[in-house]
Amino acid sequence: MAETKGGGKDEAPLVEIDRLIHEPARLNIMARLYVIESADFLFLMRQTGLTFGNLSSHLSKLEAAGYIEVKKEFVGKKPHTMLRLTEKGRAALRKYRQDMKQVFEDLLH
Amino acid sequence: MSEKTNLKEIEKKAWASYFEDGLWDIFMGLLMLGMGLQTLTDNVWYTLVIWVGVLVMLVGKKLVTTPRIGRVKFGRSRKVKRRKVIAIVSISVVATFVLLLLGMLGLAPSSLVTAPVLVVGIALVFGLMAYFMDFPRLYAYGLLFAISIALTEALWPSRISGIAFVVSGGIALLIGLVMLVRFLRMYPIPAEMKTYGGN
Repeated sequence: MAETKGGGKDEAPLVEIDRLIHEPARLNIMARLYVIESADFLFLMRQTGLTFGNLSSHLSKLEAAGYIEVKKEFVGKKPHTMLRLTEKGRAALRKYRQDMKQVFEDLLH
Repeated sequence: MSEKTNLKEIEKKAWASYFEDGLWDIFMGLLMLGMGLQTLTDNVWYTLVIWVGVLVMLVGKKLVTTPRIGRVKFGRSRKVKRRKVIAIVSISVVATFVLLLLGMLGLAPSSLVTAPVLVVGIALVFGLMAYFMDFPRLYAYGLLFAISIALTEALWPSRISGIAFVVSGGIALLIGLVMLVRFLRMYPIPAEMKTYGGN
């Protein structure tokens, strides 16, 4: 880590960490959506092990940030809600991974 | 590096969750059971058992599996693999019809030639399907199917020749039923989903 003017360590990489993704439950959701095209609420609930309310609240935050997209589809004649990671969300997850890698590299250097 | 492995594992786990319901095992069980019972009894109506297997799988996925574990669309690589499985199944169905036709026309080679080809062919088809579907139990069912064919051919024309298929089918059916019961206990329909009427 580089020394700053005040003599402290340069904390830029840590500051750059996306706090929205850094929360374990949201990171779990993002990772699961990253490897598939789309999934419904129940599938995510089963895969992440989160409760209905918990998952709902995290999804709202991710949707507000533009990381996930809610899409209405029809399965037969029934409407169905599918969730998918947006390009912005995919890029954010990649950047988060890179930033975290950098933080640990600097920390152990 | 480890992140890549983890993401791959996450995708694999999501994919595998669709085989936890035991419906594929039940289908394989009924397929082999139907073939065995038909050979044992010489009653063509037992082939209906195979169609019951198809029905159980299709209806079961829609009414049992999806309401319990939800719906997912997998990525491009899974779609490519799915197309490969469809191609393998289509080719093997056509090959079976050609063999049957040759047999009916009296043009089929001796069973000393066709039986080993059939056994190896069946094992290969199931092996490829298991590989592309990422479904390890299908290797075992392919092996059971191939062994049953070999024993049926060896014991032919005795009616008892169908016993290998009945036993193999029974094993697969039992595994499937145990898995289905476990699946139903593990994944009840969430109360919230009932309240909100799905998604």
